[in-house]
Amino acid sequence: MEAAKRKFRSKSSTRFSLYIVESLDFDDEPRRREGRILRDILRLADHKVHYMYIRTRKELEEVLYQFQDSGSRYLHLSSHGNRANIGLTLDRIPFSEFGKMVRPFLKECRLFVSACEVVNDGLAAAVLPSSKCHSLIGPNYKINMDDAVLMWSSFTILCSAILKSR
Amino acid sequence: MVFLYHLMFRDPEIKVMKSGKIRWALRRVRDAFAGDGMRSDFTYAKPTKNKNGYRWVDIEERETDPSDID
Repeated sequence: MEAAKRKFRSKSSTRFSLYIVESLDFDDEPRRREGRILRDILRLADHKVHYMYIRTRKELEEVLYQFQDSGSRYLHLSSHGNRANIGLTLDRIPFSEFGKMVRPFLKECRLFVSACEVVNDGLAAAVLPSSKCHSLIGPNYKINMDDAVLMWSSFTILCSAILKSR
Repeated sequence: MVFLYHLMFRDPEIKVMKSGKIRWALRRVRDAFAGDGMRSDFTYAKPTKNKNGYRWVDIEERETDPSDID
C-alpha cells in the first residue's frame, strides 16, 4: 500500500486540530452540512479546524493523505451510515474496507465518526486493532444532524477546556 | 452556556485530550442534552491487547476530578 511507504508522523508531530471530512446525500448538500457548521462553531472558539467535502471513495483516499500532511490529531468523519457501512455521496464502504483505508493514517490520532449507528463492534474491530489509533468515538444509534452538531461542538470544546482555575 | 464556560476556563497551554478528560466531557454532553427523547450518549472505544484488540469504555468507570485532568 502506498500509505505504508510514507513516513508516519510521531505523536509530537501532531497538533491539537480537527480535520473534518464530510460526505452527504445530494439532497442534504445545500442546507444540511453538519460538518461545515461544526467547523464554523469551532473556529469561533479559536480552534484549528480543517474541512473537506468529498463524494467518493477515491476522494476519501486522497483526503486521508491531506489529513496526514496537516498534522491534525483528530479526524472527524461526518456522513451517513448504518451498522455495516460508511455512506459517502456516491459510494458505500463496508467497515472492513474502511478500516484498511484509514488504519495507516491513524497512528497517535483519534477518530470521531458522526454517522447513524456506525460506532459498533464491526467498525471498532476494523479500525482499532494494530492501528495505534487512540480511540474511536461516536453514536451507535440513529442521530439527527442538529443534535449531532450540538453534541460534537460541545464535546470538542469541553475537551479543550480546563477547570483548574476554579 | 458551553461557550461561556469555554471562554471563562479555556487554557491555551492544554494541547491534548486525555482519556479521563474524554470520559468527563462525554458525561457532560450526555447529561446536558438528555431528555425529551433525545439520546446524547456517544460510544467510546479504545485499543487494547485483548482478543478483540479493543474495548468499550464505560464513561462512568472512573469519576475523574476535572481539576486533575491533564
